[in-house]
Amino acid sequence: MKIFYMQDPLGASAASGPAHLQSSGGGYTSAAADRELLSTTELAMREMPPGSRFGIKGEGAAALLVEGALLLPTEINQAMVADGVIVLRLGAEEFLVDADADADADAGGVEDALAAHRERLIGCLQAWPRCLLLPRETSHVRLRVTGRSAPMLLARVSQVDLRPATSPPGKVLQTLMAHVVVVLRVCESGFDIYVEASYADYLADTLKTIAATL
Amino acid sequence: MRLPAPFGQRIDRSQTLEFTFADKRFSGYVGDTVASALLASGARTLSRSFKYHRRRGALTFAGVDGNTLVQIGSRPNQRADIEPVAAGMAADAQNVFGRLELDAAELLDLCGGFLPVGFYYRAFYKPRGAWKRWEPVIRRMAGLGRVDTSAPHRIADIEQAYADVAVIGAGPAGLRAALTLAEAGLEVWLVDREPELGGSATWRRGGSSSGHATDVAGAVIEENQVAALVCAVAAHPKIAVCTRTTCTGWFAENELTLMGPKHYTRLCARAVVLASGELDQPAVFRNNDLPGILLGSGVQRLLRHYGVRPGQTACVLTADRRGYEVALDLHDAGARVARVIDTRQEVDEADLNALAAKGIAVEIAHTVHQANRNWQGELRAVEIGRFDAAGHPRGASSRIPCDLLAVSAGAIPQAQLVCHAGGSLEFEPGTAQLRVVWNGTAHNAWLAGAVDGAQTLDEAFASAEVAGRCVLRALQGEAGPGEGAIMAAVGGSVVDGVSGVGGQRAAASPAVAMPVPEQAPEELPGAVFEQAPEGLLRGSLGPTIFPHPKGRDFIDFDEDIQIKDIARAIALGYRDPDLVKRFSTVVMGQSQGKQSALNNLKVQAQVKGQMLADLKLTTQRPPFFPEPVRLLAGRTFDPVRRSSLHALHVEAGAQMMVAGVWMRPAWYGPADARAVSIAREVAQVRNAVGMIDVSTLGKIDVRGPDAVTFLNRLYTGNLATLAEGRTRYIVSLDDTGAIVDDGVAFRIGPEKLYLTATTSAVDAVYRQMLKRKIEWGLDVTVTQLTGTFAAINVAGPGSRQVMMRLAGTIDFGAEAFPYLAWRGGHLDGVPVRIARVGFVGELGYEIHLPAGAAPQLWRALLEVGAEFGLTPFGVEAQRVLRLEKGHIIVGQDTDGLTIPAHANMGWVVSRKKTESFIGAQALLAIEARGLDRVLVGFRIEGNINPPDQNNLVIRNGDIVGRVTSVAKSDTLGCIVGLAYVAPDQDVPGTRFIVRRSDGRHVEAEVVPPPFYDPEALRQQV
Repeated sequence: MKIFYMQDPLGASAASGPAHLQSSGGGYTSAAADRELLSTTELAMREMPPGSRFGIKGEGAAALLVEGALLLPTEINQAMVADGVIVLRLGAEEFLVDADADADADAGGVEDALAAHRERLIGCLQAWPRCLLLPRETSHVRLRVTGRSAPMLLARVSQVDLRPATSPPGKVLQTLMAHVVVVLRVCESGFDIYVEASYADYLADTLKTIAATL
Repeated sequence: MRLPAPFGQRIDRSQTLEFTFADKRFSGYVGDTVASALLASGARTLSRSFKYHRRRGALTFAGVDGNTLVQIGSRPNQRADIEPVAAGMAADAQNVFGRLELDAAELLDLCGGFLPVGFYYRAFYKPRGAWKRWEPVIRRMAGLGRVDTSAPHRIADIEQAYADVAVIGAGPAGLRAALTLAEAGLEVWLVDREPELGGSATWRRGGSSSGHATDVAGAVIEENQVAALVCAVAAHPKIAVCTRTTCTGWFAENELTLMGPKHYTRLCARAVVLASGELDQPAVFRNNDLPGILLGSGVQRLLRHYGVRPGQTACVLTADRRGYEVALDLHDAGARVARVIDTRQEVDEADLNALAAKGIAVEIAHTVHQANRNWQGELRAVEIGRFDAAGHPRGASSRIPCDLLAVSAGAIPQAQLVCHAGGSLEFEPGTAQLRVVWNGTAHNAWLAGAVDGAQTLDEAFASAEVAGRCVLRALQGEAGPGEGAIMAAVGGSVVDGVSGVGGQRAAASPAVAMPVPEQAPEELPGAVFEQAPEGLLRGSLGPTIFPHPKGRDFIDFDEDIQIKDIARAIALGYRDPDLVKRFSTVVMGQSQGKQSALNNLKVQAQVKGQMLADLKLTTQRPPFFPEPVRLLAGRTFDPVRRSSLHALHVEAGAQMMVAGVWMRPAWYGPADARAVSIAREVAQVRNAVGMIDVSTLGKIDVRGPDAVTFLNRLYTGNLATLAEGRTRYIVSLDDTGAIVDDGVAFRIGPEKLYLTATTSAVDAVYRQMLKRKIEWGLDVTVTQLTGTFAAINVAGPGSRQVMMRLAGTIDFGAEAFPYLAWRGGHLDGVPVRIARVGFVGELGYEIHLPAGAAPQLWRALLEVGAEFGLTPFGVEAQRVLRLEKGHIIVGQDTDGLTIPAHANMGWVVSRKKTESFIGAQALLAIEARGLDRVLVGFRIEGNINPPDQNNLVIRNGDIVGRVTSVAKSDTLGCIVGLAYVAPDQDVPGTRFIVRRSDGRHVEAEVVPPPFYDPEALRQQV
C-alpha cells in the first residue's frame, strides 16, 4: 500500500488534480473566487482566484524553486515578480508562489506555468524529504485591497508601517491583522492579504465594516 | 454682542441655526461654539461650580477649563467653549439643583465656612453607621453630568500611524518647523486642536516682534508671513495636517496618542517637535470666578474667531504687555475700556502712549483685589488697589463699574506633554522663569515657540528653526537630499538639549520686582503667610497673590479651592505639594491644573516662606485632555474561524456554537430540541454510525533528523518506539509538570511525524515548538497545518462499512488497518491520511485531508453512509460520548496544577526513554510529596437533576474537590462524570457528596472509567 503522505501533504493531489481540492461548500475556499467584495471610489477589495497557488517549506525549498527557474527574493519578507509569477519569501526556506494579477502576461499561460511548477516540485520531493509542499490555493485566501483609502483601512487593523518609503512594492509583512495572522504583500496597485481560509470570512467582514466608517 | 467682519473668522453669517440651552432657545451661526453663541446672545452663565454652586462663565475659550462643562444630549462634560453648536442641539447645564439661574444648592456658598477643605475626610463617620446615611446624599451631590446608560454604543477605530516627525501645535513655530522638515524630505504630521492652522496668530494681535502693541505695519507683515506659511504647509505633500486633533499623551519611543473627532490614532514618530504654545493664567482675588471675568486670550479668541464681544465696558488686569494688546483689541471692537490695571511698576513707555492715544487710562502698580457682582451673580464692578514700592497693598483705592474683566496675569509653557515624556517644568534660578527642563537629544524631540519661551513671532521662527536643525541632525543621513540646503539656509550651530531661544529671551527680559502682601489676613484658619523672602516672585509669573479677608479668592475653579484651603492643608501638616494636592484636591479637577498649578504653587511658597524655585509642580500624567472611553476602547476584534465544512453544517440545520475561536455545530436540529437532538446523535453513534467535523484539531508537521529527539523532549511518551504507520496518544506538560495539551502522534517516517493538538492550545504548542527548536539547537522543521487540513471523524459500529463503500486506495480490513494505525491514500479521489483512533469509544476513523477537499468527501460520506444510517453529530453529543468513555478534555478536566498522576494517567509518562522532557523534574518532586487530589469517575443513580460542572465535592463540611465533567447518559441509564476528590476517596465504590448549584447535596459513587465498554472491545474490532 502506498503511504503517500510519507512524502508530502500534496503528494497525491497531483494524481487527482486540483479540481479535487476545490470546494463549493465553505466560506472563501470557493472555486468561483475572484469576486468583488467592496468597491467605492476610494477603496476596493476583491477575493483573488486561487489558481495554482502553493507554498513550499523546509530544507531544499529554495534550491527546488531555483531549479525550476523561478527567481527568488534574496531577502526574507520580500517578493519577486517575474513572468507573471510572484514568489514571496517568508523564511530562509519558506516560500509562497502565486500568479501575479498585475502581470501583462496571459493569465491562462501564467496559471499553466504555475501548475507546471507545482507538478515538477511534487516529482522532486522524493529527493527532498525535509520539504513540504503546501496547498495554499485552498488553505489560504488572497484579498486584494486597493484604492486611496487602502493604507488608512489597514492602519486600523494592523500595527505595521505601510508608508511607501518604509514598505515599498515588493515588501512582505508577516503580521497580525484584526488579531489574525496574515501575510501582507505590498504591490504597485495596493495590498495583497493572504489569510487562512478559515479566517477569511471574519477578516473580510471586519475590513468591510471598517471601510464603511472611513 | 456680535461684531461685524473681519471679526468672526470661524463663523458663517449666512447660515443661522437654533439650539436650546437649559430649556431656552438660542440662535447662532454655523462655526459657532455653544459658548460663543450663548455669549453672543448675552447669556454669560454656563454652569454651576462643583462645591459651592457658584455661577461660572467662559474663562479661557480654549477648552482647557472646567467652567464651560455642559451636557449635550447623552454626552456629559462637554466643553461649551470648543464644542461646535449644531442645529437642533439640546444642551443643558450640569450640577444644578433646580434651574441654572436659580440653583437651590447655591445655599452652600453661604455656608462655606462650615465646609472647609477636607471636611469630608472627618465628617460623616460619627456616630457609628452615619456614613451609610450620608453616602447616598453625597453621591447625589457629587459628580457633574449624567451618564446615559441607554446611549447607543458607538465604536471608534484606533489607527496606527508612523511619521518621520510629529509636530504638535500648528502655530507659527509649529508651521515653520513642519515646513522646514518637510522641505528637507521628511514626512511630517502636523497636529493641532484647533479647526484651522495658525495657532495664536489666528486670534492674537499682531506686531509682537517690534515689541510694541501698536505696530500696525508690523502686524500686517506678521499676518502675511503666517498666512504664507499656512498656505505653504497646507499645500506641501510631505505634511499630513491633522486639525481638530488633540495630542493627549506622549509615551516611550515617541509614541503619541492623537484624539481626533472620530477616532484615535497611535502615532509613532522618529522625532517630535513640540510647539504647543503657552497657557494664560488667571489672577487670584475675591470673586475672581464671576461670569464676565475672562482671560485676555479668551477675549481675543471670542473677538477674532467668533465676532463676539463679551462685554460693553471693560477693564483689563495685566501683568505683562499682552494686556495692552487686549485693551487695544477691545477698543477696536467698540468696547469702552474703562481701565487697564497693570500690576507692574515699570511699564514700556510706547505701550502707555499707545493706550493714551486711544483714551484708555492705565493704573500702574495696581491690582484688582475684589470683583463685585450684580443681582444676577455676574460681574458688575472691580475694586482695585495701589501698591507701594515694596509691593504692600494700601487697600481699595477705587471701584470701577464694568461688565467685562480681561485678565492677562502671565503665562506658563503648555508643557504637559513633554512632562509625560520625562521633562519637567521648573523655576529657573535668577530669573524665576518657568522653564521646561528637557533633554531633546535623548528623546529625538525638541521644543519650539512659546513652550520654549519664545514671545515674539521672530523668536518663534528662530526657535522652530533650531528645533528643525536638531531633528535633521538626529535623523542625519536619513533625512533626504534637502537636508544640506536646510542646514545652509538656517545657518548657525545646532543647539543641543533645550533650545536656546527662550533662554536668550528670558535673560534679556528685565527683572521687575513684584509686590508681596503687607500682612496676612487674620481670618486665615490655622496658618498665616510666613514672611516671604525677598525676591520671591520675579519675572512674568503674574501678580502677587494675597488672601482676601472674606475669601472666595479661587485658586482652582474646578474644585472651588481658595487660598485659605491651601493654607489649611499646609497647616494640617501636608507640606509637600503632592500631599497638598491630594488633601485639598487642588489641580485634580477637569482642567488638571492648567489654570491652577502656578497659582497653587505661588500660594504654597508664600504660606511656607519658601522660594518658588524650591517647589516643584505636581506630576503631569496623561491624558492631556479627557478621552472618551469609547475612543480608548477602540474596536474589539473577536476572530472567528469557520471550517471548510461550515456551509454544509448550516445547510444541514446545525445549531452553531463558538468553541474557542471556531464555529462548530453544537447539534443538528431545531434550537429548542437540544436534549432530544443530542440524545439522538449519541444513540446514532452507539448503534449505527455518525460523523463529526473535527477540522478544529490542531495539526503540526515535524520533520528532520532530530524530530524524535525533539518530540521526546516536548512530550511525556517515548516516540522512538512508535512504529511507522502507527499512532500514539501524547501529552505535554509545562515546567511545573501540569498537563497543557494532548493529542495523537502519527509516525510518518523515520524522521517525520504528524501531530494533532487541542483546538485551543495548538497556537501555544506551535510557539513553544519554535522556541524550543532554537533553544535546543535541534535540526527539525516544524510546520503548523491546522488551517491547511480539515478532519472528519467517522465513528460507530457501521463506520468500517461506510469507509469501504468509498472508492479509494486504502484497505479498511481489520487486519490491514488495525486499531491505532494510520494509513494514507485516496478516498473518493481525495488525498487523505486516516487514523484508527477513537475519542468516542467506538470503531472510528479520523480522516485528515486538505481543507478545500473536505466538502467533497463530506458529501460523499453522507451519500454512501445513508444506507447505514450515517448522520452528522455535533460537539454536545461528542462530549457525552467521550465522557461515557472516560476520556478527559485538557483544560476542562485538568487545570493549571493537574499532573498526569492526578488524572490517573501516569501511564502516559515514559520512565524508560533517555531524553528528559519538559516538566519531568517537577513530576518527580510532586509525586514524591504525594498527591493531594485525584480525578475519579463517578456515577449517580436515580432520576434526579445532575450536578453542574464545577459543583463542589464536600466532606465533613470541607471542600475536597470539584466536578469537572458531568452528563446524563441514556446509554448507561445514569448520570456519569469526572470529579476531583481526596486521594483516599478513589477506591471504587466509595461514595462522596456533591453540592449542587441549588444547594442540595447528592451522593455519587466512585466508578473507575471508562464507564462504557471498559475492555475497549468496540473500538478495537
